Amino acid sequence: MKLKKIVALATSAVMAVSLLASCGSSSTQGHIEQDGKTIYTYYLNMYTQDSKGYAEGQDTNFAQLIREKFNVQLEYDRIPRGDWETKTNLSYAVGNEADVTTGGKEPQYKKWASEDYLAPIPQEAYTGDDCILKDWKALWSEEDFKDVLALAKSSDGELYYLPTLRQEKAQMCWDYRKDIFDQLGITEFPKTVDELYDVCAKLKAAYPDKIIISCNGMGTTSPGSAITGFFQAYWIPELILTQHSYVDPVTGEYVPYALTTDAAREMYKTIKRFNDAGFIDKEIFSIDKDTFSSRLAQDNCFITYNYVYNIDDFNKKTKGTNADKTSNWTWTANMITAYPEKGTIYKRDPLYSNWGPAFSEGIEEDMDRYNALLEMFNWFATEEGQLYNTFGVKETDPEEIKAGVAPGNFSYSMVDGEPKYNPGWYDESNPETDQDKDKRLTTEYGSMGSQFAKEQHMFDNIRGKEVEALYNAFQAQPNYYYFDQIPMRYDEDEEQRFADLEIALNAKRDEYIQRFFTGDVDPNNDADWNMYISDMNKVGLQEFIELQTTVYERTKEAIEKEEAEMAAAEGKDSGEESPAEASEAPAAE
Amino acid sequence: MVKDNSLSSIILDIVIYVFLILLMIVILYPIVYIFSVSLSSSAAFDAGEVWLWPVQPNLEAYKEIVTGKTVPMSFLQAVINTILYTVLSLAFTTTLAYPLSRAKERVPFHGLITKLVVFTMFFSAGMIPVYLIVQKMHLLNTRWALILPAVISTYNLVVMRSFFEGVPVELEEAAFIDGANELTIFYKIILPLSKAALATVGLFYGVYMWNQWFSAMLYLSDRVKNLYPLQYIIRQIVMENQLAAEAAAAGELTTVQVSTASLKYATLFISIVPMLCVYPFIQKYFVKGVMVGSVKG
Repeated sequence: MKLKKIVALATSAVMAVSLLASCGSSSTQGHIEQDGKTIYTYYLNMYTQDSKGYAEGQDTNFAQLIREKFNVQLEYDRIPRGDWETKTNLSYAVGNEADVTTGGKEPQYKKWASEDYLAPIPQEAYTGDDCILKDWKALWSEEDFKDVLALAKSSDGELYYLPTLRQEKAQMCWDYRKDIFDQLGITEFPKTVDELYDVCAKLKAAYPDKIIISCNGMGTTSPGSAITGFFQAYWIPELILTQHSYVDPVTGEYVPYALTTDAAREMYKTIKRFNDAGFIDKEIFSIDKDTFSSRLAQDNCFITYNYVYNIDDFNKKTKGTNADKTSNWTWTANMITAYPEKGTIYKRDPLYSNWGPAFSEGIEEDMDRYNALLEMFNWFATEEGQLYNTFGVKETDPEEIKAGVAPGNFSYSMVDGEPKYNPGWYDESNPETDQDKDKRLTTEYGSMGSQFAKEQHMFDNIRGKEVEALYNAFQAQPNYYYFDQIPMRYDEDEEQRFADLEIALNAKRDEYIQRFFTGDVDPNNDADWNMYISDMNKVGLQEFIELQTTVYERTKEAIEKEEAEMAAAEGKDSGEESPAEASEAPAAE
Repeated sequence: MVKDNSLSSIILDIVIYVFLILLMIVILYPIVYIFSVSLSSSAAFDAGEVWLWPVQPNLEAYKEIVTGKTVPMSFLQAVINTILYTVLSLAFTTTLAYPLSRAKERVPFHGLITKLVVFTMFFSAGMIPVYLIVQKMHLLNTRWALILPAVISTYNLVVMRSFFEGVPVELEEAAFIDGANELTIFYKIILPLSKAALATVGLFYGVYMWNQWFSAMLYLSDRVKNLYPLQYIIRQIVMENQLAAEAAAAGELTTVQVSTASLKYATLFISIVPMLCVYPFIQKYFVKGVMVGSVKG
């Protein structure tokens, strides 16, 4: 008996020790002295998109460049993208995190910030005209930058990462097979739900064995991500599956949970009606990109809600190996609406992509070291930085940039005022170049790739022209509206409650999206609809609505206050009287 | 066995054969399909023309794999890891299982060791403590990080111990009388009599390591990417499409390069082949081995 107790105690102790062993902390690197200069060293964690290599070591062109320009030296931990979150979480948990991490998403950063893993970006670094991050800040207009800050800051009012400019103003639209439309005498893509139904009926009558509408979901968010075109027809934002709440762009009304409203019910009725008529792909909630490509190749989809710049790829997939086959996929700026008298919704892309570099807690202990890094990231946002990160080095570039480039290894030349890759270099905007064999900046110069924005010429050549055309076409349409993102700043407890409720609500919502679609539960039937609402309430809908409303109201107030303070700080910086000071001045006199 | 030629018996035989043929088709079809897609053109795959035989057959995918560096290197690493791990695991497992299968009087702390071993079947420290141990032992970014933390599987140890318990003690007693010591008995008598169990447990270990990608993700980094095993590379290839869709939705700036379907399937097929080759050779032991411990008394 005694032995048993000792064994029990010993094994418990082993387990406890092994668990406690997880509590660790990292020690940050400092700097090295080189040629009489202080070179700040950092450990940087970044994710890689493919298995293409990077030039390693401190003698690469990129390493020499940042050492010369910013006194910065980076040591990398490059992680395949699919593993980045797990490995970075683990590194924070075991205390050997990198000084800088890139590629995280805003929710992760906000979570890590609330767990004290991240250092805030000093407010003075992005306030005023001559701040360290002035070029990064200038990626947006002054008004837009205020909105970016309002959205990206955490609940403590601090910014914990540097968001990336979203260069696409609008990219999602309805794409359709114009050749098939022409063949059936359909002259225009529909604008209302009823018109869409009529067009689908015509297509179905002509091609009874074919799927009319299909789409691959955008990742793993929810099965509903494949039918977001229908969401918008009912004035529900495209991003509602992750955002849940919205503010109506016409009435200004705040809706804390969208997918249980009357509009949502009408939307569910519509997708069921379309499915019952055989218009929608039965597998739309689960098909991946490969299966969707097969649909195209088999002429098994004539309408999809997708990216504007995918048209060429759709035509290529549809033709397959038969170059003589007719395929004329076309995009349209006609969005579908169920409420033509009220207007039409399109998706205006967010002001920023919610990923970018973040800095680990402890880095602010040496502000010179921190600032050197911020200066480097600010340079990435300059035209010179974007040009370097996208196109590399031109033979006539300044000496410090040429350092480390072997003769004959200059990557681009200016042709008619536009940068063009030299022969033998991979150009993602040019399908003639070979992505496997041609040289890349990462492998030749060791550079990290585009940060914050793609160089404008490259962006235009890849997708910018289509994006601009679509955006302009939306602008030209009467009564077209978009949803603004709404800032929501949760404190730590609220964030936990939000996460718990969101998981339960998402699971129930996704279950019902599929059941409404298949007709297992009928949204036209009051009893079925009430069952849905009741089930959502059981998993915390009312509590979620209360939480969202509280956070929305409080965040609105906090942002108004912050903007007033920033305006005051900007005023001081430029030597002008701030509004607050101006209003106080007469009283002081 | 007397042959039963009754109608009911013949009907039953037909049913059994039909069922087994169907089962064989269900098992073989995915493998044949993967092989066919790997040899077909991407356009034919997209067009849904491949369902059994290769369409527009070509060896481009295999050529790309062979001429590329990543897959051959990861294949080699997976082979090395699997062989090394299987040998080490069998060595450690048998040398621990054998004493635990013998009388308590012959082995000091027999009960304590057994309890400690069984404890690990039900309780595990978790990912972070194990990671820290691997880190403190300077195993990160080495092959040993994949092998040592999992070198003994308690389940396999229990299987092995049960098998050793079935080997008559009288054989050992006879050997003792002839002057053999414990080690000689173990290597000259116990192990040669345990081929079935060794083959079975060895297969369990081998398959485990061959399919292993998670520990490679945790303990290896890009700095030693030549050590990445095949399954880890396959996982990256298979995830490309999903990641590409997510990257596009998130507005990421770097273009994701997606492999063709034939390349994915060729890599998958290559990963299946070694296990397919190994199974027939150990099948004769396997049937006997899986029965180990199933009957007592």
